[in-house]
Amino acid sequence: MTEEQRRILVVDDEQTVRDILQRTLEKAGYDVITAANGQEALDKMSQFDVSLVLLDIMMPGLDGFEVLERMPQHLNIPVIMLSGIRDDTTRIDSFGLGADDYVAKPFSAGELLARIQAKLRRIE
Amino acid sequence: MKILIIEDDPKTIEIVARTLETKWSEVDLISTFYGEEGVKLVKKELPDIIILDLRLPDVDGFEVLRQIRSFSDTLLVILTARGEEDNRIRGLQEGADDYIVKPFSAGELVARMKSLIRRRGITETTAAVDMKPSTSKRLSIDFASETASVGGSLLKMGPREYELLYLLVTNEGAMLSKQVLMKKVFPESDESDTRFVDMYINKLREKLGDDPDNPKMILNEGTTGYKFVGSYSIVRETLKEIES
Repeated sequence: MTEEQRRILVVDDEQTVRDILQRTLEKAGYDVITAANGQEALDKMSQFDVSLVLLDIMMPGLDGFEVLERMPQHLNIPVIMLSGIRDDTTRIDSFGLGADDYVAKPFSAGELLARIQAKLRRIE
Repeated sequence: MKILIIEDDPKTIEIVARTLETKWSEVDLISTFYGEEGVKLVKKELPDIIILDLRLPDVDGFEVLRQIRSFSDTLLVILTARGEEDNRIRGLQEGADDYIVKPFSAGELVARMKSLIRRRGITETTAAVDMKPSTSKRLSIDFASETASVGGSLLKMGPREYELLYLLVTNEGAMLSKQVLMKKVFPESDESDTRFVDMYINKLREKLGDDPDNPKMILNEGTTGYKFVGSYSIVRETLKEIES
């Protein structure tokens, strides 16, 4: 993986969402790995060099909030929450737990890519 | 913490100012209706974060963004009624750190700004650690971004955990009763039911690496309260007022 080719971890329990995101991100030049649940996501964060995480909230087993709380702190990976939940409390709680951004589903692929770029720009 | 808002709607400025008063103490808010003056204020006042409207009476907001980015890397949030997808993408691509569409939730605006400040703090800390490795496990608190870290690793804390830590640290050495902590951290709950405080103290100790059976940082004062006796350093000293 080159310096330019950042790796993004997509975490969502819905296969269709993972597939759409993977295609969109790969087309934009990112290396993509996926996880179908919270525990798999935590495992992949430890195994791979991940530049950014796209994280769903409602998942069986560990939900997105629990993943945020359990993420290895030393990695300091930016996290964009990607969720169908649209209420203010959930958004604000996400930021309180360490999320860097919150994008509501359904989302615009163009805006999501622009938000990813904005986050990665700050850690370069 | 200095925040510059470039916005021609007095109502929006008032909402932001009121929210900051209650949710982010010790913020110095500077405002201007005009883009040209906004650019000058960025140079003169060196704000920590800029809130920028796109519809301004003198210059288009995108032009203001372009001018600011030509000399400054300050965190910048666009706050605008222009919610079209093209504009959102353009704003983020041209250098905004966030793009919020009106009508907006003031609480979410503040949460997003705090998140940006926290990320900037992490990046700066990481850079410093890269330059000079440290094995210290000392607690560091950044009052400006309302974050804490141990040995350079950011502690993931919810707002109430931070508030609890903040109260203990800023009253270092003094016993704070469980009832006082309940009142300040969980104002919506019955202050005589102090189980929340005990539960959150346990979570804090776990995050700080403070053994609950033999604590060195947050000590029990009998069964009535807690006091902080650990060592810590302040990263940015933007203290907020503690009510008596």
